[in-house]
Amino acid sequence: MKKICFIFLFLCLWNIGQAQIEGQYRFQYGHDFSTGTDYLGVNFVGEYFPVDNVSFAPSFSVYLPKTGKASQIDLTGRYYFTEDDLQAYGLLGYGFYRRRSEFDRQDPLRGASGVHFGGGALYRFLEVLGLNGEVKVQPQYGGRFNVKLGVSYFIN
Amino acid sequence: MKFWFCFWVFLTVLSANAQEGSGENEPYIPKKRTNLSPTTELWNGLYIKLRLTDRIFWYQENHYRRRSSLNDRTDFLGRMGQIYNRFGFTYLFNDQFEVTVGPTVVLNFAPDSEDPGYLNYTIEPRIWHQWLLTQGVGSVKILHQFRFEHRWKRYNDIGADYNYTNRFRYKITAYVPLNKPKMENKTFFIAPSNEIFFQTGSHITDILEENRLYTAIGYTYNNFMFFGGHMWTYGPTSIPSTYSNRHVIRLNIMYTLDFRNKRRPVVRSLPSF
Repeated sequence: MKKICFIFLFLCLWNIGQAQIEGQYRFQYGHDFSTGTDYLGVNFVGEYFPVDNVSFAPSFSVYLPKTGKASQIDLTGRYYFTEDDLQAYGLLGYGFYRRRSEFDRQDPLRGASGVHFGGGALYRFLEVLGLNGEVKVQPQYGGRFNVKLGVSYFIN
Repeated sequence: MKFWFCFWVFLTVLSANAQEGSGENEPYIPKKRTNLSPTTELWNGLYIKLRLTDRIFWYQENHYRRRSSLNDRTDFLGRMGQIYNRFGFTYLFNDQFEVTVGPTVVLNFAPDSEDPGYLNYTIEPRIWHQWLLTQGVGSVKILHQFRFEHRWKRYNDIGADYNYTNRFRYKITAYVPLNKPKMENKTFFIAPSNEIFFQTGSHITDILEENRLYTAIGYTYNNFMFFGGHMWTYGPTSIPSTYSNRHVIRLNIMYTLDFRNKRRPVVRSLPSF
């Protein structure tokens, strides 16, 4: 147990040492895929660091079902473990999913909301650009996984 | 002589059979071309180009497009046409050549918003890439734009399937400065262009999609370019031998910004270990 506590403490201290910069803004564009629905989507994320290491990253996805329409808004917090060229993070948030049916004219709009969590990595290959991969689980949407691949732009 | 006569008879019979065979399988295509009456549209566009590094740009287009009413084809803006969003990253190889790659998301609005048989709008995603060559001829700048689009498109009818098509476009544009020796700040210019569209796909019957003849006039002012003009389009419809044409008024703004060397210095707020 002591060993685990020591490792945890070490990781916390190390993470503080590798802090992300307070006041940074980023913009991300990507494509995501959700299991369960098997929808491919276009995803936009704005990200702001109110304090070091921690960012607020609201995102919007437009999915492309065969019929009707589907979209999702997520309000997500990220905690960054590293800040070098390869930046790893964990995430936790709440999302709102909306599905518009094409055939059901009486009740065309259905929605769901729920918690999601997961993690991702950002590889900064230029001063201003990075490649972003992310996986999150949405337990209240029937345990759906969402996988995303995108490009990040470091605004400042 | 007998041999050649027999050979000629053989060829004639073969040719007749072939024509009969093709007549059974192919749709009837009238030989006479029918041109539909022209319709009108109004396209409003915002173009954004941000220089992120020496070689990389962010490119963006957002369009709001109206089209003429069902009962008045001359009113330009009676119905919604499209909301058109194009994004991409541009890589500048040199001053004469750049490549852009990215996605497009188009909202296609129904021909009749009152008709319950139509969805009000459908989403058309695309992946596009563009190869742009720039050529200077005296004071005139000529652009050769090769644009390729991979599209997933459907009709607005309820339950319609998506169809995949490839689109191949070539546009030639000449930017002619009117009050300056070359294109620079505070320049009035005229920019005639022609763009031809081809398409392929399992359900496509005519490889030619459209031709667009467009003449813009414009003015450059600091980071902005204001330009607009008249465009005439002509192309086949889904009815064989029937062609449509449109008169489109285009109003556009382009905004460019250079982000190089404008980044804030990174200041760490916590001491590092």
